[in-house]
Amino acid sequence: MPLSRNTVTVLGADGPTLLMAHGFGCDQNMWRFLVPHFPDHRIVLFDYAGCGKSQVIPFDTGKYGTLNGYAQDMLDVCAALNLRGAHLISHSVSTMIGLIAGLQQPDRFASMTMVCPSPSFLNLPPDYRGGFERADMEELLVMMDQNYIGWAHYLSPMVTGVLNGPAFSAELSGSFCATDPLVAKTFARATFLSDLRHLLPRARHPTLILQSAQDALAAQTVGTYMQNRMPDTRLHVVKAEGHCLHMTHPADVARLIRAFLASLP
Amino acid sequence: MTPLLDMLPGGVLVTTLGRQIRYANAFFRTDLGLDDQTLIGAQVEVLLTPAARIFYDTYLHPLILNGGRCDEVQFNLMSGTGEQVPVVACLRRTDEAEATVVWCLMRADNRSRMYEELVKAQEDVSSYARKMQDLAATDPLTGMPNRREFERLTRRDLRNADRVGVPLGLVMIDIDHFKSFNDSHGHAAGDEVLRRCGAALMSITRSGETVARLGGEEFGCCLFGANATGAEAFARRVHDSLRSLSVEQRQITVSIGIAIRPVGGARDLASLLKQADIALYGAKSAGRNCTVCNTAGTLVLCG
Repeated sequence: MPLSRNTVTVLGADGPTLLMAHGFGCDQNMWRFLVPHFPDHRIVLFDYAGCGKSQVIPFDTGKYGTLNGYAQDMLDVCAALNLRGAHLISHSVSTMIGLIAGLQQPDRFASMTMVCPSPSFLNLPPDYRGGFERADMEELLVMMDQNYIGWAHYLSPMVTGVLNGPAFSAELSGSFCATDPLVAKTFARATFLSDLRHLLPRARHPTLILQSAQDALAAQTVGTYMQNRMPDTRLHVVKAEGHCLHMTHPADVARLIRAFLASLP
Repeated sequence: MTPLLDMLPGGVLVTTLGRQIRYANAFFRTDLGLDDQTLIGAQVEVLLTPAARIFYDTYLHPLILNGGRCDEVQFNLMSGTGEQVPVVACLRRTDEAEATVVWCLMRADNRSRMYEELVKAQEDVSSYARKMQDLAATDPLTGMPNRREFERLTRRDLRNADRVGVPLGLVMIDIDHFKSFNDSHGHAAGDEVLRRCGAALMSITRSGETVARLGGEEFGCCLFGANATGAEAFARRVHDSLRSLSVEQRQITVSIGIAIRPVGGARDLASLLKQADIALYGAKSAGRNCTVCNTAGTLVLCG
Protein backbone atom coordinates (compact mmCIF):
# COMPACT_ATOMS: atom_id res chain seq x y z
CA MET A 1 0.00 0.00 0.00
CA PRO A 2 2.63 2.63 0.89
CA LEU A 3 4.22 2.16 -2.53
CA SER A 4 1.17 3.67 -4.17
CA ARG A 5 -0.08 5.80 -1.29
CA ASN A 6 3.29 7.49 -0.93
CA THR A 7 4.24 7.38 -4.63
CA VAL A 8 7.56 5.73 -3.91
CA THR A 9 10.25 6.25 -6.54
CA VAL A 10 13.39 4.12 -6.62
CA LEU A 11 16.26 5.41 -8.73
CA GLY A 12 19.81 4.54 -9.55
CA ALA A 13 22.38 1.94 -8.78
CA ASP A 14 22.80 -0.84 -6.26
CA GLY A 15 24.91 1.33 -3.95
CA PRO A 16 24.06 2.38 -0.42
CA THR A 17 20.48 3.59 -0.05
CA LEU A 18 19.66 7.25 0.37
CA LEU A 19 16.10 7.84 1.54
CA MET A 20 15.09 11.41 0.73
CA ALA A 21 12.15 12.94 2.58
CA HIS A 22 10.63 16.23 1.44
CA GLY A 23 9.47 18.93 3.84
CA PHE A 24 6.26 20.87 4.22
CA GLY A 25 5.03 22.57 1.08
CA CYS A 26 6.14 20.48 -1.81
CA ASP A 27 6.92 16.93 -2.76
CA GLN A 28 9.66 14.55 -3.86
CA ASN A 29 10.30 16.70 -6.92
CA MET A 30 12.27 18.97 -4.59
CA TRP A 31 15.12 16.49 -4.73
CA ARG A 32 15.55 16.60 -8.47
CA PHE A 33 18.57 18.94 -8.34
CA LEU A 34 20.34 16.84 -5.73
CA VAL A 35 19.61 13.37 -7.11
CA PRO A 36 22.00 13.60 -10.12
CA HIS A 37 24.89 14.08 -7.68
CA PHE A 38 24.50 10.54 -6.37
CA PRO A 39 24.67 8.24 -9.40
CA ASP A 40 26.45 5.60 -7.32
CA HIS A 41 23.65 5.32 -4.79
CA ARG A 42 20.25 3.76 -4.70
CA ILE A 43 17.84 6.61 -4.13
CA VAL A 44 14.38 6.23 -2.65
CA LEU A 45 11.97 9.14 -2.93
CA PHE A 46 8.43 9.32 -1.64
CA ASP A 47 5.60 11.75 -0.93
CA TYR A 48 3.82 11.99 2.38
CA ALA A 49 0.14 11.20 2.14
CA GLY A 50 -1.67 14.04 0.43
CA CYS A 51 1.49 15.65 -0.95
CA GLY A 52 2.50 15.69 -4.59
CA LYS A 53 0.75 12.92 -6.42
CA SER A 54 0.18 10.63 -3.48
CA GLN A 55 -3.28 9.27 -2.91
CA VAL A 56 -5.26 11.36 -0.51
CA ILE A 57 -8.62 9.71 -0.30
CA PRO A 58 -9.54 9.25 2.44
CA PHE A 59 -7.14 11.68 4.06
CA ASP A 60 -7.02 10.91 7.75
CA THR A 61 -6.82 14.30 9.47
CA GLY A 62 -6.50 12.56 12.83
CA LYS A 63 -3.48 10.50 11.84
CA TYR A 64 -1.79 13.35 10.01
CA GLY A 65 -2.67 15.90 12.68
CA THR A 66 0.66 15.16 14.38
CA LEU A 67 4.12 14.39 13.00
CA ASN A 68 3.77 10.79 14.23
CA GLY A 69 1.42 10.11 11.32
CA TYR A 70 4.06 11.23 8.83
CA ALA A 71 6.72 9.19 10.65
CA GLN A 72 4.45 6.20 10.15
CA ASP A 73 4.38 6.97 6.41
CA MET A 74 8.17 7.01 6.37
CA LEU A 75 8.37 3.72 8.27
CA ASP A 76 5.74 2.18 5.98
CA VAL A 77 7.93 3.08 3.00
CA CYS A 78 10.96 1.56 4.76
CA ALA A 79 9.00 -1.62 5.48
CA ALA A 80 7.65 -1.90 1.95
CA LEU A 81 11.18 -1.77 0.53
CA ASN A 82 12.66 -3.68 3.46
CA LEU A 83 15.20 -0.92 4.08
CA ARG A 84 17.94 -1.46 6.69
CA GLY A 85 20.70 1.00 7.43
CA ALA A 86 19.51 3.60 4.95
CA HIS A 87 20.95 7.10 5.04
CA LEU A 88 18.09 9.49 5.57
CA ILE A 89 18.33 12.87 3.88
CA SER A 90 15.49 15.01 5.08
CA HIS A 91 14.42 18.60 4.64
CA SER A 92 12.84 20.99 7.10
CA VAL A 93 10.04 19.34 9.11
CA SER A 94 11.01 15.96 7.70
CA THR A 95 14.12 16.10 9.84
CA MET A 96 11.91 15.82 12.93
CA ILE A 97 9.70 13.22 11.27
CA GLY A 98 12.88 11.24 10.62
CA LEU A 99 13.95 11.68 14.22
CA ILE A 100 10.65 10.15 15.38
CA ALA A 101 10.94 7.31 12.86
CA GLY A 102 14.56 6.69 13.86
CA LEU A 103 13.59 6.35 17.51
CA GLN A 104 10.79 3.94 16.69
CA GLN A 105 12.77 1.69 14.34
CA PRO A 106 16.48 2.52 14.67
CA ASP A 107 17.69 -0.35 12.45
CA ARG A 108 16.05 1.19 9.40
CA PHE A 109 18.61 4.01 9.40
CA ALA A 110 22.39 4.32 9.49
CA SER A 111 22.65 8.10 9.52
CA MET A 112 20.62 11.27 9.24
CA THR A 113 21.35 14.34 7.17
CA MET A 114 19.11 17.19 8.21
CA VAL A 115 18.75 20.02 5.69
CA CYS A 116 17.49 23.23 7.34
CA PRO A 117 16.01 21.52 10.40
CA SER A 118 14.13 22.99 13.32
CA PRO A 119 12.70 21.17 16.36
CA SER A 120 10.08 23.90 16.70
CA PHE A 121 9.27 26.93 14.58
CA LEU A 122 7.63 28.70 17.51
CA ASN A 123 9.17 31.13 19.93
CA LEU A 124 8.77 29.32 23.23
CA PRO A 125 9.39 30.43 26.78
CA PRO A 126 11.72 31.01 28.41
CA ASP A 127 14.23 31.64 25.65
CA TYR A 128 13.82 29.35 22.64
CA ARG A 129 13.56 31.34 19.41
CA GLY A 130 11.95 29.20 16.75
CA GLY A 131 11.26 32.37 14.78
CA PHE A 132 7.48 32.66 14.82
CA GLU A 133 4.62 33.54 17.11
CA ARG A 134 1.41 31.58 17.32
CA ALA A 135 -0.44 34.44 15.60
CA ASP A 136 1.91 34.10 12.61
CA MET A 137 0.96 30.44 12.38
CA GLU A 138 -2.75 31.25 12.50
CA GLU A 139 -2.17 33.63 9.57
CA LEU A 140 -0.30 30.89 7.73
CA LEU A 141 -3.17 28.45 8.23
CA VAL A 142 -5.58 30.97 6.71
CA MET A 143 -3.15 31.38 3.82
CA MET A 144 -3.21 27.63 3.27
CA ASP A 145 -6.98 27.87 3.05
CA GLN A 146 -6.83 30.65 0.49
CA ASN A 147 -4.50 28.99 -1.98
CA TYR A 148 -5.19 26.17 -4.35
CA ILE A 149 -1.75 25.81 -5.84
CA GLY A 150 -1.52 23.44 -8.76
CA TRP A 151 -5.12 22.51 -8.13
CA ALA A 152 -6.11 22.29 -11.79
CA HIS A 153 -3.21 19.95 -12.51
CA TYR A 154 -3.96 18.05 -9.41
CA LEU A 155 -7.43 17.09 -10.52
CA SER A 156 -6.46 16.04 -14.00
CA PRO A 157 -5.37 12.45 -14.36
CA MET A 158 -1.60 12.31 -14.32
CA VAL A 159 0.97 9.64 -14.85
CA THR A 160 1.54 7.61 -11.74
CA GLY A 161 3.95 4.97 -10.65
CA VAL A 162 7.66 4.55 -10.62
CA LEU A 163 9.81 6.83 -12.71
CA ASN A 164 12.72 5.62 -14.72
CA GLY A 165 16.09 7.31 -14.50
CA PRO A 166 17.02 10.44 -12.65
CA ALA A 167 15.44 12.76 -15.19
CA PHE A 168 12.01 13.75 -14.06
CA SER A 169 9.57 14.20 -16.85
CA ALA A 170 8.42 17.71 -17.57
CA GLU A 171 4.75 16.99 -17.02
CA LEU A 172 5.47 15.97 -13.48
CA SER A 173 6.34 19.51 -12.56
CA GLY A 174 2.70 20.32 -13.19
CA SER A 175 1.78 18.74 -9.88
CA PHE A 176 4.73 20.14 -8.00
CA CYS A 177 3.62 21.66 -4.75
CA ALA A 178 0.00 20.84 -5.54
CA THR A 179 -1.99 21.58 -2.44
CA ASP A 180 -5.33 20.44 -1.28
CA PRO A 181 -6.15 23.02 1.41
CA LEU A 182 -7.27 20.30 3.84
CA VAL A 183 -4.00 18.41 3.45
CA ALA A 184 -1.86 21.54 3.45
CA LYS A 185 -3.55 22.92 6.52
CA THR A 186 -3.27 19.66 8.40
CA PHE A 187 0.40 19.32 7.48
CA ALA A 188 1.01 22.99 8.30
CA ARG A 189 -0.55 22.60 11.72
CA ALA A 190 1.48 19.47 12.47
CA THR A 191 4.63 21.15 11.18
CA PHE A 192 4.48 24.60 12.65
CA LEU A 193 2.74 24.03 15.94
CA SER A 194 4.74 21.07 17.21
CA ASP A 195 7.65 21.13 19.57
CA LEU A 196 10.01 18.15 19.44
CA ARG A 197 12.91 19.65 21.36
CA HIS A 198 12.60 16.91 23.99
CA LEU A 199 13.51 14.27 21.40
CA LEU A 200 16.85 15.81 20.43
CA PRO A 201 18.94 14.25 23.24
CA ARG A 202 17.48 10.85 22.40
CA ALA A 203 18.71 10.84 18.78
CA ARG A 204 20.23 7.47 17.96
CA HIS A 205 22.08 8.08 14.68
CA PRO A 206 25.13 10.02 13.57
CA THR A 207 23.74 13.26 12.23
CA LEU A 208 24.81 16.02 9.89
CA ILE A 209 22.94 19.30 10.15
CA LEU A 210 23.15 21.53 7.09
CA GLN A 211 22.04 25.05 7.74
CA SER A 212 21.58 28.07 5.61
CA ALA A 213 23.37 31.23 6.73
CA GLN A 214 20.14 33.18 6.22
CA ASP A 215 16.98 31.22 6.68
CA ALA A 216 13.74 32.86 7.78
CA LEU A 217 12.44 29.49 8.95
CA ALA A 218 15.46 28.26 10.84
CA ALA A 219 17.85 30.83 12.26
CA GLN A 220 21.49 29.91 12.89
CA THR A 221 20.79 29.82 16.62
CA VAL A 222 18.38 26.93 15.98
CA GLY A 223 21.17 24.89 14.42
CA THR A 224 23.49 25.49 17.36
CA TYR A 225 20.66 24.73 19.76
CA MET A 226 20.18 21.36 18.09
CA GLN A 227 23.86 20.49 17.89
CA ASN A 228 24.30 21.27 21.58
CA ARG A 229 21.58 18.82 22.51
CA MET A 230 22.06 15.97 20.05
CA PRO A 231 24.70 13.28 20.48
CA ASP A 232 27.11 12.59 17.61
CA THR A 233 26.00 15.57 15.54
CA ARG A 234 27.98 17.91 13.38
CA LEU A 235 26.74 21.21 12.03
CA HIS A 236 27.69 22.90 8.82
CA VAL A 237 26.47 26.34 7.83
CA VAL A 238 26.28 26.87 4.07
CA LYS A 239 26.78 30.45 2.87
CA ALA A 240 23.38 30.81 1.30
CA GLU A 241 19.97 32.38 1.67
CA GLY A 242 16.71 30.63 2.02
CA HIS A 243 15.26 27.41 3.30
CA CYS A 244 15.79 25.15 0.29
CA LEU A 245 19.53 24.49 0.23
CA HIS A 246 19.07 21.24 -1.68
CA MET A 247 17.41 23.19 -4.50
CA THR A 248 19.55 26.32 -4.52
CA HIS A 249 22.95 24.80 -3.66
CA PRO A 250 22.72 21.12 -4.65
CA ALA A 251 26.43 20.74 -5.43
CA ASP A 252 27.52 22.08 -2.04
CA VAL A 253 24.94 19.97 -0.26
CA ALA A 254 26.00 16.84 -2.17
CA ARG A 255 29.68 17.42 -1.40
CA LEU A 256 28.96 17.83 2.32
CA ILE A 257 26.77 14.75 2.42
CA ARG A 258 29.42 12.68 0.63
CA ALA A 259 32.10 13.78 3.09
CA PHE A 260 29.76 12.97 5.99
CA LEU A 261 28.89 9.51 4.64
CA ALA A 262 32.57 8.77 4.01
CA SER A 263 33.36 9.67 7.64
CA LEU A 264 30.90 7.13 9.02
CA PRO A 265 32.38 3.92 10.42
CA MET B 1 5.33 62.29 -17.47
CA THR B 2 4.97 59.51 -14.90
CA PRO B 3 6.56 56.23 -16.03
CA LEU B 4 3.97 53.74 -17.16
CA LEU B 5 4.77 51.13 -14.52
CA ASP B 6 4.21 53.69 -11.79
CA MET B 7 0.74 54.38 -13.18
CA LEU B 8 -0.37 50.78 -12.82
CA PRO B 9 -2.99 50.11 -10.14
CA GLY B 10 -0.91 47.25 -8.79
CA GLY B 11 2.59 46.29 -7.76
CA VAL B 12 5.46 45.32 -10.02
CA LEU B 13 8.52 43.94 -8.35
CA VAL B 14 11.73 42.52 -9.77
CA THR B 15 13.93 40.34 -7.59
CA THR B 16 16.96 38.19 -8.20
CA LEU B 17 16.65 34.43 -7.81
CA GLY B 18 18.65 35.04 -4.65
CA ARG B 19 15.64 37.08 -3.45
CA GLN B 20 17.20 40.53 -3.58
CA ILE B 21 14.93 43.40 -4.68
CA ARG B 22 16.07 45.12 -7.91
CA TYR B 23 13.03 47.20 -8.80
CA ALA B 24 9.76 48.21 -7.20
CA ASN B 25 7.14 50.45 -8.82
CA ALA B 26 5.26 53.30 -7.16
CA PHE B 27 2.64 50.91 -5.70
CA PHE B 28 4.99 50.03 -2.87
CA ARG B 29 5.27 53.69 -1.90
CA THR B 30 1.60 54.59 -2.28
CA ASP B 31 0.06 51.44 -0.82
CA LEU B 32 2.73 50.21 1.58
CA GLY B 33 4.62 53.34 2.46
CA LEU B 34 7.93 51.76 1.42
CA ASP B 35 10.31 53.78 -0.71
CA ASP B 36 13.11 52.69 -3.00
CA GLN B 37 15.72 53.48 -0.38
CA THR B 38 14.26 50.83 1.89
CA LEU B 39 13.56 48.33 -0.84
CA ILE B 40 16.25 48.32 -3.50
CA GLY B 41 18.98 45.87 -2.57
CA ALA B 42 17.03 44.52 0.42
CA GLN B 43 15.85 40.92 0.75
CA VAL B 44 12.29 40.37 -0.39
CA GLU B 45 11.43 39.29 3.17
CA VAL B 46 11.16 42.96 4.18
CA LEU B 47 7.90 43.05 2.24
CA LEU B 48 6.39 39.91 3.73
CA THR B 49 4.62 39.15 7.00
CA PRO B 50 6.27 36.32 9.00
CA ALA B 51 3.57 33.91 7.80
CA ALA B 52 4.12 35.01 4.21
CA ARG B 53 7.84 34.37 4.65
CA ILE B 54 7.05 30.76 5.47
CA PHE B 55 4.72 30.60 2.50
CA TYR B 56 7.41 32.08 0.28
CA ASP B 57 10.05 29.60 1.44
CA THR B 58 7.80 26.55 1.34
CA TYR B 59 5.81 27.22 -1.82
CA LEU B 60 6.69 30.28 -3.91
CA HIS B 61 10.45 29.94 -4.01
CA PRO B 62 10.45 26.16 -4.68
CA LEU B 63 7.86 26.70 -7.44
CA ILE B 64 10.03 29.35 -9.07
CA LEU B 65 13.14 27.19 -8.75
CA ASN B 66 11.35 24.18 -10.12
CA GLY B 67 9.16 25.47 -12.90
CA GLY B 68 9.94 29.18 -13.19
CA ARG B 69 6.40 30.32 -12.46
CA CYS B 70 3.84 30.68 -9.79
CA ASP B 71 0.26 31.67 -10.51
CA GLU B 72 -2.53 33.34 -8.58
CA VAL B 73 -1.20 32.96 -5.09
CA GLN B 74 -2.55 34.96 -2.22
CA PHE B 75 -0.50 36.13 0.74
CA ASN B 76 0.05 39.15 2.96
CA LEU B 77 2.53 41.93 2.40
CA MET B 78 3.65 44.02 5.33
CA SER B 79 3.42 47.78 5.08
CA GLY B 80 6.03 50.18 6.43
CA THR B 81 3.90 50.52 9.55
CA GLY B 82 3.58 46.77 10.04
CA GLU B 83 0.06 46.39 8.68
CA GLN B 84 -1.02 43.38 6.66
CA VAL B 85 -1.90 44.05 3.03
CA PRO B 86 -3.38 41.02 1.27
CA VAL B 87 -2.35 40.61 -2.37
CA VAL B 88 -2.80 38.13 -5.18
CA ALA B 89 0.39 37.57 -7.16
CA CYS B 90 1.79 35.94 -10.24
CA LEU B 91 5.54 35.34 -10.40
CA ARG B 92 7.70 34.60 -13.44
CA ARG B 93 11.34 33.80 -13.72
CA THR B 94 12.69 35.69 -16.72
CA ASP B 95 15.41 33.46 -18.12
CA GLU B 96 18.02 31.06 -16.86
CA ALA B 97 20.98 33.35 -17.39
CA GLU B 98 19.63 36.47 -15.75
CA ALA B 99 17.78 34.59 -13.09
CA THR B 100 15.48 37.43 -12.15
CA VAL B 101 11.92 37.06 -10.98
CA VAL B 102 9.13 39.44 -11.93
CA TRP B 103 6.26 39.77 -9.50
CA CYS B 104 2.88 41.15 -10.47
CA LEU B 105 0.68 42.02 -7.50
CA MET B 106 -2.91 43.13 -7.03
CA ARG B 107 -4.49 44.11 -3.75
CA ALA B 108 -6.93 41.50 -2.53
CA ASP B 109 -8.57 43.06 0.52
CA ASN B 110 -12.08 42.08 -0.47
CA ARG B 111 -11.10 38.65 -1.71
CA SER B 112 -9.34 38.08 1.57
CA ARG B 113 -12.41 39.07 3.54
CA MET B 114 -14.55 36.81 1.40
CA TYR B 115 -12.25 33.88 2.10
CA GLU B 116 -12.33 34.56 5.80
CA GLU B 117 -16.11 34.44 5.71
CA LEU B 118 -16.05 31.37 3.55
CA VAL B 119 -13.71 29.60 5.94
CA LYS B 120 -15.86 30.60 8.87
CA ALA B 121 -18.98 29.34 7.09
CA GLN B 122 -17.18 26.10 6.36
CA GLU B 123 -16.18 25.74 10.00
CA ASP B 124 -19.74 26.47 11.13
CA VAL B 125 -21.09 23.84 8.77
CA SER B 126 -18.63 21.20 9.88
CA SER B 127 -19.18 21.89 13.57
CA TYR B 128 -22.93 21.74 12.91
CA ALA B 129 -22.45 18.47 11.05
CA ARG B 130 -20.44 17.07 13.94
CA LYS B 131 -23.19 18.12 16.35
CA MET B 132 -25.82 16.49 14.16
CA GLN B 133 -23.70 13.38 13.93
CA ASP B 134 -23.45 13.21 17.72
CA LEU B 135 -27.18 13.74 18.08
CA ALA B 136 -27.93 11.07 15.51
CA ALA B 137 -25.75 8.61 17.42
CA THR B 138 -26.97 9.34 20.94
CA ASP B 139 -30.02 8.21 22.88
CA PRO B 140 -31.41 11.45 24.32
CA LEU B 141 -32.80 9.94 27.52
CA THR B 142 -29.69 8.15 28.75
CA GLY B 143 -26.94 9.89 26.78
CA MET B 144 -25.74 6.45 25.66
CA PRO B 145 -25.05 5.44 22.07
CA ASN B 146 -28.32 4.52 20.38
CA ARG B 147 -29.11 1.41 18.35
CA ARG B 148 -27.74 2.83 15.09
CA GLU B 149 -24.45 3.76 16.69
CA PHE B 150 -24.30 0.45 18.53
CA GLU B 151 -24.65 -1.44 15.27
CA ARG B 152 -21.98 0.68 13.62
CA LEU B 153 -19.53 0.18 16.48
CA THR B 154 -20.25 -3.53 16.74
CA ARG B 155 -19.72 -4.04 12.99
CA ARG B 156 -16.41 -2.26 13.33
CA ASP B 157 -15.46 -4.47 16.28
CA LEU B 158 -16.46 -7.58 14.29
CA ARG B 159 -14.08 -6.59 11.50
CA ASN B 160 -11.28 -5.80 13.94
CA ALA B 161 -11.85 -9.03 15.86
CA ASP B 162 -11.20 -10.90 12.62
CA ARG B 163 -8.10 -8.93 11.91
CA VAL B 164 -6.65 -9.41 15.38
CA GLY B 165 -7.99 -12.97 15.73
CA VAL B 166 -10.04 -12.67 18.92
CA PRO B 167 -13.64 -13.64 19.80
CA LEU B 168 -16.39 -11.14 20.49
CA GLY B 169 -19.18 -11.22 23.05
CA LEU B 170 -22.60 -9.73 22.46
CA VAL B 171 -24.78 -9.12 25.51
CA MET B 172 -28.46 -8.11 25.59
CA ILE B 173 -29.84 -6.71 28.82
CA ASP B 174 -33.55 -6.25 29.51
CA ILE B 175 -35.04 -4.63 32.60
CA ASP B 176 -37.41 -7.05 34.37
CA HIS B 177 -41.11 -6.17 34.68
CA PHE B 178 -40.47 -2.72 33.19
CA LYS B 179 -43.90 -2.44 31.62
CA SER B 180 -45.78 -3.12 34.80
CA PHE B 181 -43.48 -0.71 36.63
CA ASN B 182 -44.27 1.93 34.05
CA ASP B 183 -47.98 1.26 34.34
CA SER B 184 -48.06 1.47 38.12
CA HIS B 185 -45.59 4.32 38.69
CA GLY B 186 -45.90 6.39 35.53
CA HIS B 187 -43.60 7.22 32.63
CA ALA B 188 -41.49 9.70 34.54
CA ALA B 189 -40.52 7.01 37.03
CA GLY B 190 -39.95 4.61 34.13
CA ASP B 191 -37.61 7.11 32.51
CA GLU B 192 -35.78 7.45 35.80
CA VAL B 193 -35.23 3.67 35.84
CA LEU B 194 -33.85 3.77 32.29
CA ARG B 195 -31.56 6.68 33.08
CA ARG B 196 -30.15 5.08 36.22
CA CYS B 197 -29.74 1.70 34.56
CA GLY B 198 -27.89 3.37 31.70
CA ALA B 199 -25.66 5.27 34.12
CA ALA B 200 -24.90 2.07 36.03
CA LEU B 201 -23.99 0.26 32.82
CA MET B 202 -21.76 3.07 31.60
CA SER B 203 -20.00 3.19 34.96
CA ILE B 204 -18.92 -0.45 34.76
CA THR B 205 -17.74 -0.54 31.15
CA ARG B 206 -14.03 -0.78 30.52
CA SER B 207 -12.01 -0.14 27.41
CA GLY B 208 -13.04 -2.42 24.55
CA GLU B 209 -16.60 -2.58 25.83
CA THR B 210 -19.47 -0.68 24.22
CA VAL B 211 -22.86 -0.24 25.88
CA ALA B 212 -25.89 1.27 24.24
CA ARG B 213 -29.61 1.63 24.65
CA LEU B 214 -31.16 -0.39 21.88
CA GLY B 215 -34.69 0.80 22.50
CA GLY B 216 -37.45 0.44 25.12
CA GLU B 217 -36.01 -1.18 28.23
CA GLU B 218 -33.34 -3.04 26.29
CA PHE B 219 -29.60 -2.41 26.38
CA GLY B 220 -26.85 -3.98 24.30
CA CYS B 221 -23.16 -4.49 25.01
CA CYS B 222 -20.39 -5.45 22.64
CA LEU B 223 -17.36 -6.96 24.34
CA PHE B 224 -14.32 -6.95 22.10
CA GLY B 225 -12.13 -10.00 22.66
CA ALA B 226 -14.50 -11.64 25.17
CA ASN B 227 -15.21 -15.38 25.18
CA ALA B 228 -18.06 -16.96 27.19
CA THR B 229 -16.15 -16.72 30.48
CA GLY B 230 -15.39 -13.03 29.90
CA ALA B 231 -18.96 -12.22 28.89
CA GLU B 232 -20.36 -14.05 31.93
CA ALA B 233 -18.04 -12.05 34.19
CA PHE B 234 -19.36 -8.90 32.55
CA ALA B 235 -22.95 -10.05 33.15
CA ARG B 236 -22.13 -10.62 36.85
CA ARG B 237 -20.77 -7.07 37.00
CA VAL B 238 -24.06 -5.85 35.55
CA HIS B 239 -26.20 -7.72 38.10
CA ASP B 240 -23.94 -6.50 40.92
CA SER B 241 -24.02 -2.90 39.80
CA LEU B 242 -27.84 -2.88 39.86
CA ARG B 243 -28.11 -4.51 43.28
CA SER B 244 -28.24 -1.13 44.99
CA LEU B 245 -30.57 0.35 42.39
CA SER B 246 -34.16 0.81 43.50
CA VAL B 247 -36.70 3.30 42.26
CA GLU B 248 -40.00 3.96 44.07
CA GLN B 249 -39.01 1.33 46.66
CA ARG B 250 -38.76 -1.26 43.99
CA GLN B 251 -35.55 -3.21 43.41
CA ILE B 252 -34.52 -3.13 39.74
CA THR B 253 -33.28 -6.38 38.20
CA VAL B 254 -32.38 -7.38 34.67
CA SER B 255 -32.30 -10.48 32.49
CA ILE B 256 -29.24 -11.00 30.34
CA GLY B 257 -28.63 -12.97 27.15
CA ILE B 258 -25.16 -13.67 25.81
CA ALA B 259 -24.01 -14.74 22.36
CA ILE B 260 -20.37 -15.36 21.52
CA ARG B 261 -18.96 -14.96 18.10
CA PRO B 262 -15.90 -17.24 18.03
CA VAL B 263 -12.75 -16.45 16.03
CA GLY B 264 -13.53 -16.98 12.38
CA GLY B 265 -17.29 -17.26 13.00
CA ALA B 266 -19.96 -15.67 10.82
CA ARG B 267 -19.53 -11.93 10.66
CA ASP B 268 -23.13 -10.94 10.28
CA LEU B 269 -24.46 -8.85 13.10
CA ALA B 270 -28.12 -9.70 12.65
CA SER B 271 -27.65 -13.39 13.40
CA LEU B 272 -25.46 -12.61 16.40
CA LEU B 273 -28.13 -10.26 17.76
CA LYS B 274 -30.70 -12.97 17.18
CA GLN B 275 -28.65 -15.53 19.14
CA ALA B 276 -28.30 -13.09 22.03
CA ASP B 277 -32.03 -12.40 21.85
CA ILE B 278 -32.80 -16.12 22.10
CA ALA B 279 -30.52 -16.32 25.14
CA LEU B 280 -32.30 -13.29 26.66
CA TYR B 281 -35.66 -14.95 26.09
CA GLY B 282 -34.19 -18.01 27.83
CA ALA B 283 -33.24 -15.88 30.83
CA LYS B 284 -36.77 -14.47 31.01
CA SER B 285 -38.23 -18.00 30.89
CA ALA B 286 -35.79 -19.11 33.59
CA GLY B 287 -37.42 -16.70 36.03
CA ARG B 288 -35.63 -13.39 35.20
CA ASN B 289 -32.79 -11.68 37.15
CA CYS B 290 -30.32 -14.15 35.65
CA THR B 291 -28.00 -14.67 32.68
CA VAL B 292 -28.23 -17.22 29.88
CA CYS B 293 -25.44 -17.87 27.41
CA ASN B 294 -26.15 -19.15 23.92
CA THR B 295 -23.24 -21.37 22.90
CA ALA B 296 -23.65 -22.67 19.37
CA GLY B 297 -27.42 -22.97 19.85
CA THR B 298 -27.27 -24.51 23.36
CA LEU B 299 -28.64 -22.31 26.12
CA VAL B 300 -26.78 -22.48 29.40
CA LEU B 301 -27.95 -20.77 32.59
CA CYS B 302 -24.96 -19.03 34.14
CA GLY B 303 -24.21 -19.27 37.84
